[in-house]
Amino acid sequence: MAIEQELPQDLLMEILSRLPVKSLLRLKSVSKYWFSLIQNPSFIHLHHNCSKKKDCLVVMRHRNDCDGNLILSSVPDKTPTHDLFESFEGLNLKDVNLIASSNGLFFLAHFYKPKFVICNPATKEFRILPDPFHHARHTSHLGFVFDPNTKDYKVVRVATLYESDLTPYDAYDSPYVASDKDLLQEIPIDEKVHRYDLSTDCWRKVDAGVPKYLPSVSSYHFRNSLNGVFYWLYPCDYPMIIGFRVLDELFEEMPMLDISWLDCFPCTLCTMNDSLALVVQMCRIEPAEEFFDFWEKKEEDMSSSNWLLKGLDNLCSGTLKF
Amino acid sequence: MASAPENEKNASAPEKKTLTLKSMINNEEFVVDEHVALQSVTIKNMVDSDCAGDVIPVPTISGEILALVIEYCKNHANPSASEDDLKKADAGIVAKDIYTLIDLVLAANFLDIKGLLEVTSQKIADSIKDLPHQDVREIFGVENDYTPEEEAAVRAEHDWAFEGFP
Repeated sequence: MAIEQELPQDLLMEILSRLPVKSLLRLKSVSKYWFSLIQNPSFIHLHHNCSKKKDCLVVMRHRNDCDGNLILSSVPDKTPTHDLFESFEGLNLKDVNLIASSNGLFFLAHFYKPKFVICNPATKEFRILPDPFHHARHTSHLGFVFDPNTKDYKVVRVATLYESDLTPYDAYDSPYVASDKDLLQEIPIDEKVHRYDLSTDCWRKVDAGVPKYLPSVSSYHFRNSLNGVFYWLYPCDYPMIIGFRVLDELFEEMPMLDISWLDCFPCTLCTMNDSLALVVQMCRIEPAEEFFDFWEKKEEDMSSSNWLLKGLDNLCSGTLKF
Repeated sequence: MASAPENEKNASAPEKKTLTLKSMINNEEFVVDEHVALQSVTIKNMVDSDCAGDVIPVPTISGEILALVIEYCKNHANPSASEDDLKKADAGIVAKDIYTLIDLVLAANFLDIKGLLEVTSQKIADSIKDLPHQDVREIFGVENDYTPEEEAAVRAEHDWAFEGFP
């Protein structure tokens, strides 16, 4: 038995957008039309918005003691059981670091080679990015962002050029990577910004002035993005937050929460309820305990430093993303 | 629409305005309070623009489905109903077989009743999420336009999602 009239497209999308990803991957086999509907970026966007309301996935990052591989596990019930990368066949997770997540995708980078991977834990798909431009092999900064305007994912990479980069190498895998010590003795010549778009699968140069004091790529600080801007926290001695807007490809600086004692405590930038937030990890000596302060940025306006202290009670209803 | 002054309203012994909805499939008629029927944006637009006569014909919706729609509207027009009550009532309305649900979602779409559309869509999604794609194809009356080779290739892309499925 079948229904008498065909469902209009918007109605079919409304229904399909409520299905789990696993079911959708199977339903691609229904027909060519269903396949194109499920693959369609605007459907994917609709689906993501729908699931955002329902599910919140907490992801823990740790390393396997035996082989040093990166393990990301989902923590639906606070027990880290399910390795998100278990079935990413052929993806070598040795020497890679999780740089950021945006809108459901993860962005990983090799520690010292310009090798990058974007992966989707829901569909178990991953894409190894093409090699970036041949010179400027030393990645100094990275960001990953979902651009709501184009509904596309972008990687922004700042590369530092050293004199030795100007000497040509034959192959990418040649041992060109200088150690940090070597680089310290070298003088950086220039910094270049490159952007990768997932939709076109290629890199292109971006004409943007790079601000000073960007945190190093090796820093474990997780990058955050919100509404097409991604943010870094500046190092402690320069209390600023830096944003890169993909729309007009501009770096912008934002004053950090202005509290004199702040540099004594580790801070993490995160997004909370669609605004930027700062988590300050504090401790008390007497009685000895650790606690967190959450500061939420009130406006999107970069220039203002209007932060609001949120109690933990206020957080229960919100979703917090690191 | 200008509302009448309070005293005049009382004087004319307020009679609840009703609308008659008529299923054009089996000519069944339903008399409902106006404020119940106005939860349908389609009907509200008709009433607001004065194109609604005494009887509003509803094409393509059967009496059986229209009764479910009216039940939903009645529940949600009741100001004293708690959120919990409504959830329970909604669950009762959508506890139907998949074909009734698809008729219901089409009706909710045509009449533009957002809440009913959402709750019915969710129920349909829940009912098909663990079905093999062949069954979904049959239910939705979709013609399989893949060649066997093409279908195998699409399936191979995400073989893990088919574990335990034919």
